[in-house]
Amino acid sequence: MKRKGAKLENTVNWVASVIGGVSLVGMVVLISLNVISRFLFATSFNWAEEVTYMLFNWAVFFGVVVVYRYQGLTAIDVLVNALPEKARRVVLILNYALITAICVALVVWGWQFAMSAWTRKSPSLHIPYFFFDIPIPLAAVCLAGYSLKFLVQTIRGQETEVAALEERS
Amino acid sequence: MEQLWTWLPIVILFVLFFMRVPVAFAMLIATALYFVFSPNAMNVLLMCQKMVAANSSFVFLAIPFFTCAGVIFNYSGITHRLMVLADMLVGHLVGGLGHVNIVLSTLMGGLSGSAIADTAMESKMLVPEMERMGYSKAYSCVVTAASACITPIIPPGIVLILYSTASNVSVASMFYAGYLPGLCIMATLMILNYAISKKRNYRPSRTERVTPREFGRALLDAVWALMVPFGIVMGLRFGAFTPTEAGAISILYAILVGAFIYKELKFAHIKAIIMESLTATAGVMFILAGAQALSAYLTWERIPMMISEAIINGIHSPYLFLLIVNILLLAIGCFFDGGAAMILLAPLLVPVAQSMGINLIHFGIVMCINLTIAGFSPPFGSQMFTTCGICNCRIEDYIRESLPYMGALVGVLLVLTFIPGIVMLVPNLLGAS
Amino acid sequence: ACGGGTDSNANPGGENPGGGQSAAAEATTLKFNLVKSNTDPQYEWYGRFFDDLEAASNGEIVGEIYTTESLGPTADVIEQAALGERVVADCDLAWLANYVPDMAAIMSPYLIQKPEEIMAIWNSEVFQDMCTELEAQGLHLIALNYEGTRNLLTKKDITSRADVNGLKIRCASTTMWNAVAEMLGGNPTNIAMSETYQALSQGVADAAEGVYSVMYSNKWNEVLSHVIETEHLVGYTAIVMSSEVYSTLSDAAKAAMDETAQKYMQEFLELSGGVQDEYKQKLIDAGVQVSSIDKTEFIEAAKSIPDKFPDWTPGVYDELTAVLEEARGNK
Ligand code: NA
Ligand code: NA
Repeated sequence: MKRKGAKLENTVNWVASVIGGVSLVGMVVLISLNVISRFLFATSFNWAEEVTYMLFNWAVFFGVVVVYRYQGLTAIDVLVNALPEKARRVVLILNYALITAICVALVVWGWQFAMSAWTRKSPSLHIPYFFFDIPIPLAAVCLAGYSLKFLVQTIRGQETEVAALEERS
Repeated sequence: MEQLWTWLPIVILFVLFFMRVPVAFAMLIATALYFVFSPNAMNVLLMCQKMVAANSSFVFLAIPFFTCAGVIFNYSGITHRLMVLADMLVGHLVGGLGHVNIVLSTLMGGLSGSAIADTAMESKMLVPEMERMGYSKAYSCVVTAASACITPIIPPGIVLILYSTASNVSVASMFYAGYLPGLCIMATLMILNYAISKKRNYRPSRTERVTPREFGRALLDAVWALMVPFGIVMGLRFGAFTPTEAGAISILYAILVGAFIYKELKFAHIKAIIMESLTATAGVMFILAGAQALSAYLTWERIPMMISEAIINGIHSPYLFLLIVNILLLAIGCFFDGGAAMILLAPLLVPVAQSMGINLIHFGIVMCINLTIAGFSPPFGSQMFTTCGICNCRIEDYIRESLPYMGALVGVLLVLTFIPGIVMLVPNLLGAS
Repeated sequence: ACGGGTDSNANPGGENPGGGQSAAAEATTLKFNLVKSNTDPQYEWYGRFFDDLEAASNGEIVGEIYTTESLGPTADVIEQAALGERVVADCDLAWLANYVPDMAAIMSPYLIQKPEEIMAIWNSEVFQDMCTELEAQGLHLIALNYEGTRNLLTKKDITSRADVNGLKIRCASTTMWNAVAEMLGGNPTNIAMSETYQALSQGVADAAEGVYSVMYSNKWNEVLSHVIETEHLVGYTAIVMSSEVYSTLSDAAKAAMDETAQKYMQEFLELSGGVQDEYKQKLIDAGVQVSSIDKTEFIEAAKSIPDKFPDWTPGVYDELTAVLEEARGNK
């Protein structure tokens, strides 16, 4: 049971890393090609910028999934750390519950928003803006899963996994 | 009910911050509650629209590129060689690397218009080196974020341009006016860094002066690294490429130099480089996404305008007005990125300043410095979040270390506010006032 | 209105408009996302427009102007309106093509030749059909206000279309604007209006196009030096709101809006026409070189534009041409 969860988590993390990493590399490659093309052929490609902006969304939101796996997002922990153990747990339960809630909401709203963008198309390649917006709900599914896990762990009194300081973003 | 929901999200935001809810999530939750419960609010789907807004602006596109370039500079040995050289140049001074950090931001000012991009790059490049030389992590982060206030004031700068589009002042005048205040901030920060380093014994990293021979070797070794800023300056000055493209070219250049000249960059590094760049970029951009959503609520409720209108009513002395503008912008700038605050407030404040006979170039520089200082200052400054995010610095440590720098920056701000002659010197010399 | 603490405790039911018996309908506040800055002449005109509208509707419609697209990029604000928000977008028909593809056809370069010809289009059946289709997409077109004739602005003198080759021309991110930039001979690069100055000064774009007043009030003349009078487009800005919000207005308010908008459409024809000469002179005084150019090559290049839009209703371009020909013939 526990192993199964860990395996799923590893898979999710691997997929998110690959999507985020490939998007980031894609951005660098496209912008670089545009510069080179401008030097060599005095022309650049608007479609490359367009795709870069699309990849930017994929890189950012899947990058967040990778970061949040070990709670590496910037947060102010001074007050919570100063609380007595019991109060701390209550605050953290509320914390994870709220994050789970916002992530679930972002799945729903993000999906509706992306669907509403089907008809709007990017000017050069005519890619529906759906593909620019869909990383939000997809990433939010993973984020909801992680925060739910943190929530359950905290309720059970288990330690949640927290990124080593040098791994936080 | 409407009245309640005008202000309640701000209260909720603060409560969430102190509950250790990650900053970006806190902003999203506060905004979402507003969208769902306020009778005034827009369709909640628009929150998602705002979340992707920052990712479609070419200004913010430079962030992943310079972040990534900074990571590769570290792996390819470029940063290290620059540090060796800097060490030979100023290592014998007290607080040497802090000075390097400050001077580098001033030089970067000529390349980049964004304090956040400068913070991101130098957090990657310089903070690890400073820590290695014995500076505390928080102090290194504070120096990096404070000196990044110089970057947007030295032209070109995003806020300088935004001000001139909202007032009737030419961008050229704003640019001329930026140099001297930028240098003033640099000098002030260097003096403070010297004083603190002396007190804390942030020792010079070398006791003996370098021999010319040693220095020549280090200079030769670092020449490939030194060409990076020159290349960027040339490329930008002559319009060969944009800041984002400069980031992309820096990445390619760093890869080539690291792999074929310094031979320190290996295939095995690729995965680590990508993941480091990805997570650093995502951390920063996610906060920006949250900030964009939050500012949609603030704009919608006209909160920044309400606050400034309330304060401006009844003030007739230009000096009192300038002082209150300083306080107001420091407060409002905490919630907005500088550009957004400028767009919202300049149209409101400029006519008041004009009616009081305040020089609009001078007023613009005061506004710009204010907003960048707000980006440095706790508890919500964007430069603070950027450097703390990238360097894993605890925010409470940052806050403690930031106090003297806050004092110094506000000190410069007040001097520049009340002695307009400093700001106006260069524009007057160039006949652009 | 700033209320004290007691107001927040007020029972929300007490404010329920359904319970009120006063004749005046509840005021609808429309937030207008003006793309231009507050130094643009249009800022003052729209201020008057909303004042007149408020008076004509007996206070039922109140306008708030947000300059320099501070509510969001144009595409986002149109989307907000389509989702039923009380916002008004300052866009052009190329943006609305995302909702009704045919609307881009009206933006075809060199199609409309004189500012007042827009009235013929506005009153035509083919255009009214497009507006009906737009209503179904959630958007209500309030007016098409004349802004001036659009020209090319570059860093160097241009004497033929070949000189434009390789220039990155800033344009709005719509298919039609990209086609216009290509028609002019350059590469389109899509940048929001509020970021254009910076893009030009950093070389992200090296040319722009627009009407004289927009060039001047955005200070593009500080980074670009030559206006080439390509006169490629008679420019109109579309003022668009949510059709859902429009339908909630009282009949009197709807009539007030329609009448005020019509009045200002006429007024914009005069105001914009007069002001463009003034701003052309301001640009010349600021050191910009304005030169005319033989437009034959551009007009020729513009002919292939309809082929780039397979999603247009077949024959729509010809229908619009026919409407305009008839209007010209009648004069
Ligand atoms: Na700068
Ligand atoms: Na620095």
